[in-house]
Amino acid sequence: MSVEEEVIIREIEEISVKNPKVLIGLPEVGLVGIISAIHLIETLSMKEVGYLKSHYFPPLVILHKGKVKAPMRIYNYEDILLIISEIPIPPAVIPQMARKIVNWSKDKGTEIIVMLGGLPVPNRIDIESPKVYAIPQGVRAEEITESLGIERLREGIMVGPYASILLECCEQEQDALLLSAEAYMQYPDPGAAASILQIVAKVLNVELDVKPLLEKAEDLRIRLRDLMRRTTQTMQRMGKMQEHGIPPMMYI
Amino acid sequence: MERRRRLRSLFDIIESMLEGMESFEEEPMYDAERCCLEPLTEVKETENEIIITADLPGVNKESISIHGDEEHIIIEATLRKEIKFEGWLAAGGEISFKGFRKAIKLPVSVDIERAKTSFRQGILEIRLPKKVKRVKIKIE
Repeated sequence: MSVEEEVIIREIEEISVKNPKVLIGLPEVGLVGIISAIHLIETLSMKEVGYLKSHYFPPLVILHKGKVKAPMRIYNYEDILLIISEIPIPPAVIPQMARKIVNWSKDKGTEIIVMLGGLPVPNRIDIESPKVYAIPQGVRAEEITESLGIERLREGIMVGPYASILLECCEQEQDALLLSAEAYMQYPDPGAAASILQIVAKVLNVELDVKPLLEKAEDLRIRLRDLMRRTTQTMQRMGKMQEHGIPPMMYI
Repeated sequence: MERRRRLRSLFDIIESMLEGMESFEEEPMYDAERCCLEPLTEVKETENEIIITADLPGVNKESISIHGDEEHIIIEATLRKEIKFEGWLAAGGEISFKGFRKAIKLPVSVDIERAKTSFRQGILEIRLPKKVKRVKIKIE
């Protein structure tokens, strides 16, 4: 069984964007990626242009406004492509999914892949404006990190789909930038998403008002409880707690 | 090599199916009879305390009630605004929720009389001192 068959990307209509910026919002710490992606889709009126499927995914579809949708979809606005998943990615398919996304991005001549994530911090309740950190991969990503003055994460262990995508980007020499906002580990965190979106707006060179997001923060926290619980269970299964460990080579 | 890859793939599929099944076995995060949502909670254990946090967005501090005994805690809160779901597959149409409710079984006995609580940014924290009898062990 080849990688090509294990994860499939279907384009509902031909995506002819040249050198796009590919954003990825997956269920992770504080659902920061999902909340940010939902806000981007709404604010930029992004159009659904494709979806990902795999026999590793649970057999489910999302019903929204009477329409059947795949849980992992692709949206488009100008030169931006956005991948969002409404289900936690099963750990068994993460490497294949990462390779497929990066292969597909390379085929599109992608300028940069930007991943939207959360960094769990124990004192999140005391933080008014969560700080955003970056892990750049490649020259372009480093330039963006530098020019926007985003603090880099330099040591540590990363676990999960974004870790696999970063590794794949390293192998395939694809520019990628992981943005991580300080967030609650197990509670949906619209405040952290607002912090990430302020940086994303600069990376994409678009206007993004985060006020409407903060106004409906309570509603989002209520409606995202189920996904947060399933995401927490998945993160535990994939060994997310290893991120609290010290990498063996740190002091060399 | 090819056989091993196929086997690995088979195990992955089984693991993935089991993961899917686990998620189907989950209890729903609401109680339709009580019109209550289940909040997300976290229970941590330290040397001397059990610390419970609960995410209670959309509620006022005054509407929260906490009760329990040495081994259980029940958290209830009223939402400022009813939450309504329309055309929802799981609830057979329309359903609305008026508050949160969650019963938690504690991992050890606690001294509930000495509980301390706080409610900030929609997050409730309950600190419950453990009921422990400490004994010094002599090295022979």
